[in-house]
Amino acid sequence: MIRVLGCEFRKCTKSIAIYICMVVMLFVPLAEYAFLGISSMSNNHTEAEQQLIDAFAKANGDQLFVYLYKLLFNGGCIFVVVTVMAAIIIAEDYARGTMKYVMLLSSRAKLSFGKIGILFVVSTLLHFVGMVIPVFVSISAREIFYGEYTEEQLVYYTLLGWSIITAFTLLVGVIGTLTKNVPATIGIGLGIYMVGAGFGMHLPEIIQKYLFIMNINKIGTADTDNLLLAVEVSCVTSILFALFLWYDLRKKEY
Amino acid sequence: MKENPLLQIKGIKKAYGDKQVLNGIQMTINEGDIYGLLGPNGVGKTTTLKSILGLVSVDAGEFVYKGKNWKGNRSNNCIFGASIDEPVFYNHLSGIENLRVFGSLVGIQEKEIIRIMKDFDLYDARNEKVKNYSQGMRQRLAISRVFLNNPEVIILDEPTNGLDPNGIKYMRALIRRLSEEFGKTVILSTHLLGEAWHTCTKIGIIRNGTVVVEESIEEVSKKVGNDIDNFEEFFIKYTEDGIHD
Repeated sequence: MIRVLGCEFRKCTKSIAIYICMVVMLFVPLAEYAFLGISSMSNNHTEAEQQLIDAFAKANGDQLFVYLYKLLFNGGCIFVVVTVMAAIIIAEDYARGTMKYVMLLSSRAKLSFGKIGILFVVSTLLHFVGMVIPVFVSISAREIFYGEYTEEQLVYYTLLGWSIITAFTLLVGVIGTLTKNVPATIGIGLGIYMVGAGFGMHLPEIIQKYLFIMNINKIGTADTDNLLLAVEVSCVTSILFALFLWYDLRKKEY
Repeated sequence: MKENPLLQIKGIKKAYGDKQVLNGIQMTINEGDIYGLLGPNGVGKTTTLKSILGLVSVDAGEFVYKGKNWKGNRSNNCIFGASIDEPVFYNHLSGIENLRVFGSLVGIQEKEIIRIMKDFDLYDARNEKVKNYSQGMRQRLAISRVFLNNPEVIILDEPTNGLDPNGIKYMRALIRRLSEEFGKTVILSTHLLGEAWHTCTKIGIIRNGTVVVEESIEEVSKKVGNDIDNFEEFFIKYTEDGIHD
């Protein structure tokens, strides 16, 4: 099992895509903040943008962290990046035709565990790389934890973001195993994100509560009880996708 | 020739939808054989090889390995090594990096990878990206990859496809080395009769998903008078519809 993980890890570290994705993730919050800054110079920005710009100007460290962390999700960039990586990790061997060679050297069961494992590690890594600048800005800003958010809430927001990204990555992994094609995986994965995040708003509240993608809106707004439920929803969804992946990767084993 | 069966394939059947690709394949491969599976394109050679490897499931039949029934269970991954279809690699990686990636699945040591690359004349090109390899180098790298798990049986699907005459000559010699120098049993599929004639110790001719002839090359040479032209006639007789019946 360790060998399979090692093989997947070796492939990932040799892929230039992961380094590009990490650089993109590192600068996403700053880029989005800069975009807001530029839009503030024109008179055409929306009321919501204006509120955000004003909030930034007066924010304490903890508020700055939440604003910047939310930008990771609201712009959708993190979903694009993890979709690309998940598509590469899951669908690449099928697309290249190398799957049959790796299967000869190991079992499908081990390969499926390896791919799910490395997918989890990579999405986690990308998420935490995306947090570097929000953390750096917040600790270098004035008065952390004297603003709107407690330490506990910040931990929950981070856990929530991480669980959403993990669930989404595994969803893309499922699509990758079904399509066995990198462009199709990216296209369908992002399509599901856009449709889910867009049309999800119009669904009844009770359904929204259990739709992991809708939990993005709870970052920075929900109280501890709601956050706990949101984290649980994302974790259960992640486990379901991981089980489906496991089943689908193994079903041809005989 | 004394029969010493290593692998027996008994009545393998496989259909893709309505199309019956394998229709009761029977093969006996002896230890140390270079077994040539011959047949025109599309008669089921690759499917037969994939079924032996467990890459496709079969509808009926059984595999007997060293006298024991074996159902394509790859948990013992030291039995088979294979190069199926066009050999594919991670083209953005060098030759040695490719072997490291595949080798990490079986926990092979770096010095073993180096030794394998030297054995197959790839050591000097080990740091070149695979996308810059010639077809011959890719085939040799494919055989190097086959050796990573030190298999007992090596399966090669059309190993001389796309090679120039020098490459074909080199590959034939290499296949003989696999048996003579490394003591491996080799099963190869081909539609090139010269390749089988010059390389194999035993042949099986496949037609309509069934092995219609299985004989040692010695027996075949006795029948055709040690003449490759007659061997071509022999092959055509058994593969053209209606003639051999």
